Amino acid sequence: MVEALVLGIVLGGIIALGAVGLSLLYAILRFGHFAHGDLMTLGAYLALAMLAGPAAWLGLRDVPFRPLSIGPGLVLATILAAAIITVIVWFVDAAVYAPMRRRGSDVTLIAFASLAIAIIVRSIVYMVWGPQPYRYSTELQQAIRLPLGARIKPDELFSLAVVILIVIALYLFLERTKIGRAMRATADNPELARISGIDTARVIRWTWAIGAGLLTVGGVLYGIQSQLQPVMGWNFPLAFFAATILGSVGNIYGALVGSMVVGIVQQVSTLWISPGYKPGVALAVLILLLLIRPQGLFAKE
Amino acid sequence: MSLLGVQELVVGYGGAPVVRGVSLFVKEREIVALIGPNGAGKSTLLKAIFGLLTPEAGRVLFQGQDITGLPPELLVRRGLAYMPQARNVFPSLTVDENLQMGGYLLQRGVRERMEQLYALFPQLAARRHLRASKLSGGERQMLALARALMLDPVLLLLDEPSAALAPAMVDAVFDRIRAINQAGVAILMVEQNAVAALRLAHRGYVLAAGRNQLEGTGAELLANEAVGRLYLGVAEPAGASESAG
Repeated sequence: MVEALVLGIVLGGIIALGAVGLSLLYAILRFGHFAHGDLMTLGAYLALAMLAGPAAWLGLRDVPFRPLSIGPGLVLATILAAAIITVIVWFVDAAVYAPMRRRGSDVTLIAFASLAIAIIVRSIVYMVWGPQPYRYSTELQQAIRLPLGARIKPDELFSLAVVILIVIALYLFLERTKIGRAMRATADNPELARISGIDTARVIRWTWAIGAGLLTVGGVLYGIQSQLQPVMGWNFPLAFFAATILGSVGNIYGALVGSMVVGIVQQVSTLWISPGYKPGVALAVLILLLLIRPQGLFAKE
Repeated sequence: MSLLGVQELVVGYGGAPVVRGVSLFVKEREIVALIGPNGAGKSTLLKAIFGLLTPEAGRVLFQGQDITGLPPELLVRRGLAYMPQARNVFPSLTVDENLQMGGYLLQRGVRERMEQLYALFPQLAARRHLRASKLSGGERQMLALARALMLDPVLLLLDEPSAALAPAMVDAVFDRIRAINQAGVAILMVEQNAVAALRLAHRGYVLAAGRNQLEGTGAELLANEAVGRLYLGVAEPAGASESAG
């Protein structure tokens, strides 16, 4: 039980990296970005490619920070992958979503367009890397014993530390920097932001960049814990949306809490039901939530 | 030369135009009130001047240059500012942050400008770390005014500054508008509270059904029987009633 709880928090942290980005995108652009999960897959695979490419040329590929299975090579690879994903989402926004916004398309249509992007992204992953699973590292890890009989791998603790650091950095960015404040202002009231002279196009680019960075890290952390598969991100949007709605849509700190709840519920459920049903558990949480409290836990009014 | 000139402006939302050929002007350091019944097109006109709506015909001149259809983000750089009627503050941002956003385009001197505005609106200074959603209606309106003033505009467009305020707060807001004007800012304001607006304004325009109906100095319009009967909501001589709007 304690072990499931700890693993649930780790899983919740990974969900949070997607859900927070999704919530931020919703707050600024007002549509549900369905491609978030598959872009997470692509981010994880791009990190794999960067690990085999640039990181290997620098001789950083197989030098883990013991007792972790991963090392500076994967850190570098993740940063490069996040940069590539950022360029990709900027391109997709400019080519697909921005023209739809300019034409005043309904947000439901934009969400459907993002679903199409999701399918295209997954197809690309299948075409380039094929259906077989990959791992970042084949290192074996000694689990650490925690009190109450729980066992946890160093990689899992590392993942949690990364999530905590990123959340703190994001908080400081949103609260302390000029562009971070402009993002919150645009989320509050896009028209008043324009009236104030805020460059909303720049705010949108930053929002995509942050969303892309967070989901790439999420994808890599998930890849470290299990393995890379073309469908790994496909199962995540359910958890992302459940977490986002639980935390009240558009509220990023709410999304954080929602992610922890969904992660823990999913992980603890594996004590009784097969882990294969984790996405189903997220769906059950989502349905229950929509029936009982559709506005989430942190609704403004 | 007038500061702002609106010539035969036609504006709509896709269907039949709401503003159907309105002309007006605002001189430097002047307060001009725009009054008229609901649906006369007053707010629509203001939005079109500020580039939130694109005019179908007509021209808007500001400081002698044609600004018709220019977007708000360019107009704020030229010294034009706009305070919307509703949703005119960022609710989840603090008072301080709201002002910082108003001064987003300032490269330096943001702090100094904020202190100047806190001096003009002392009740905001005490609330600077409070979220705007926690302010009272009057304080929120003061914040909306202060936000619009951050870039030190030449002309301020106000859409119903007294909307939904208690009578005592209306006086306080109008008093601040007078102070802003005395500091050299020209003001074009749309108001339901016609009596108070005409008393404050140097000149006024009465719009009806999207067209100019009457114009004159504030005193002239207040004394005009037709204005009293039609738009001040009373049969007795205009100015005798404060319950207009």
